[in-house]
Amino acid sequence: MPVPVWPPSLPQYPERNYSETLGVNVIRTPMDSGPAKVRYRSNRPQTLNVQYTLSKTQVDTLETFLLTTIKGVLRFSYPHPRLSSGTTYVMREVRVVPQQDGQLFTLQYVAPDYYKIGLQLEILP
Amino acid sequence: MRSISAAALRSFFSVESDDSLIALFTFEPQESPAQSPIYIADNYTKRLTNNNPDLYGVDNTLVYGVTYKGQDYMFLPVQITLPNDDNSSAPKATLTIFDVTYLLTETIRSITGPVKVTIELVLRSLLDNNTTNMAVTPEVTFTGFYITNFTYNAQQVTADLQMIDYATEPFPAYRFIPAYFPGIF
Repeated sequence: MPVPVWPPSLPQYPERNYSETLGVNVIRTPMDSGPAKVRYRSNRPQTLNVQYTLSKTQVDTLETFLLTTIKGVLRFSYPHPRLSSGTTYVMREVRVVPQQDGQLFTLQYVAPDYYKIGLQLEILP
Repeated sequence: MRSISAAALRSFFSVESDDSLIALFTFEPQESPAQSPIYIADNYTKRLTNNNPDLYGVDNTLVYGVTYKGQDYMFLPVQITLPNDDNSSAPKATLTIFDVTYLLTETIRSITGPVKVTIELVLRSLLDNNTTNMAVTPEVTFTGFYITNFTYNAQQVTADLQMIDYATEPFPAYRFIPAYFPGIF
């Protein structure tokens, strides 16, 4: 089964307030005295916080994609906002990170037929 | 005496190390030869499913792991409880594998006899993601363990690891008693 792709009818770049966290899994062991010992363990998922302003039709598309296509859990191919340039998209496999109680995204009313969507994604190593 | 490489010693004792040991577990069922061995690693260096989308019979499942001596070791978090110092019985260790994905559970259900376990510790930096790592030398190899008991639930698989305890075997193995030789009584 191929990995689903972020719907082309949705914006390929997020709006401002985009944020990203990077890191690795490390083992940090405090010592009785002196600096702690730190060990590299493995790569860890990178987290992306993205926001979009979508029309009502696009919200429906996003809702179908999240609830039906990926069922809230499957990974999908997503254009990386920082690595992509213009129409040259660098795709990464990501998953939606559900917030409390399994919420996939937040939706705020902006104007008639326009809504602001907030999502948290994680890039799988 | 066990010899550990200079690179591993440097990794153990340095204040900051970009290397670590990966524990590789090989489970070999003894009474059912048709049963394939199970290969588990406690860390990962790459995705295994990129090369084999149908790995472990599950299509499109994302599986991480390492390749060592031509064999794919699936990553599952593993916790080891080391044996205690009780002299009255053979040393017993407990292996807890956190398998919420059920990748391991189905295989364990089909095991009917004792399972031989080999534990190898390998430096992560020696494992090249683009080769089969046939020539990699493990830092330490533990052999001779057998799993005597499996228990599992939705979150984890727990296995009791034990060595053959020759000290507590009956000696002599047989005696001339009515139970073994009723004809002479």
